[in-house]
Amino acid sequence: MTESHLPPHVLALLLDDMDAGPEAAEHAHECPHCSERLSTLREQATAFDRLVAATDDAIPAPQYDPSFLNTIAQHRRREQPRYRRWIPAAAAASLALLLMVPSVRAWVVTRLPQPRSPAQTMPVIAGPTTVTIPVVEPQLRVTLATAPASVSLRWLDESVSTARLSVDGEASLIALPDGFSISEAEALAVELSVPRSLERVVVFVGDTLRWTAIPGGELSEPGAPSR
Amino acid sequence: MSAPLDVGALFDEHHEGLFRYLVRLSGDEAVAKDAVQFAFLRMLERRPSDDNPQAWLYRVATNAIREWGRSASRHRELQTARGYPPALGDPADDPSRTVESIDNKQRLDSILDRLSQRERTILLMREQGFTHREIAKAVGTTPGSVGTLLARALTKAGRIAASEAS
Repeated sequence: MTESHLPPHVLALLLDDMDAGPEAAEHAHECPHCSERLSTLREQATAFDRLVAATDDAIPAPQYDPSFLNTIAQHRRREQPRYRRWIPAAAAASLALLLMVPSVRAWVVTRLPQPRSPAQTMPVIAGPTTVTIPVVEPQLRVTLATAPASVSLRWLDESVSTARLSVDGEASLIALPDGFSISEAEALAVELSVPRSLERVVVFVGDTLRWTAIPGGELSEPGAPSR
Repeated sequence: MSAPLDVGALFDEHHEGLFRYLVRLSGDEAVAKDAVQFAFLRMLERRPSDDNPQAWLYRVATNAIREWGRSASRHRELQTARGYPPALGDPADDPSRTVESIDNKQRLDSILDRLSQRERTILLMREQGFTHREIAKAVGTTPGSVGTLLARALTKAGRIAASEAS
């Protein structure tokens, strides 16, 4: 029987609970020599497993190049089902159309906070609220001059296509870009990181469409006289 | 016709595990990061023929490490010339890393350094839960040889650990 001890690769199969055949399993059970070899191998494997697991904390989170992350994000958007890609645009378009109806628009205006200064010319919004999208840096700056002092942001993953900025009090600002990430902050002015490939950002206050901003282009506000 | 690969989901699911595996395999965080990026970009370029995209990613990244290992200094020169960020700082600088985990990492590195590249790959891929068949494909051998090498590598690792402890 000494000639027929299990070869190492069969012991390795038994170690990993892979199919080594019933005869091998039986032999490993009955042969004291092979049983001890398998037992030793298990101990060595367990010790190694523990050591590897104990090093997890010693390895930092990877810091990938921004261009690489952008490439993955672009692919993610391309792979989205078509209907998902169109939901934000369709929602914005529906709201924009709705706002074209004078009675709806009048109702919306009454629901919005009034401008502080009569010099302000934007009739729909609450004050000199601005959106600036620099072409070079993929960021979106939102400044709410008439909003309460605190603007809280919830962290949202880049893969989430809807981001919400909650403003203390009644108003809330919701941005619906086609995929972006925002940082947690509490401020009146809010910085949003947007990918370079972003085509447009739709901003809402409460349930009301506020602007459609196109990076590198002009922001438009449905119904505003400047548009 | 096969469905398109959801590389974004694969990235979310596997990039951290792949990165950790590659750090252990190469001993170099910057090289590991580059290999992760290389594997995912390769996946975007051409759809893998493998039924198991995770195994494909590990195989491609492992091969990249193997290739770069031969010219590690050249690889670093290339990265610097491209203006990529330098290698990550001293692990001791990061407060989230405990002294114990750094100590364990040094013990593990010391064991892995004394194994062959193939033995290292086999042990670490096994840690990630790959089958002998999948490991065999990654290191270019048969499943039977993987078993033999695995048993040998575990014995060797056990001996090294014991000699260091004494």
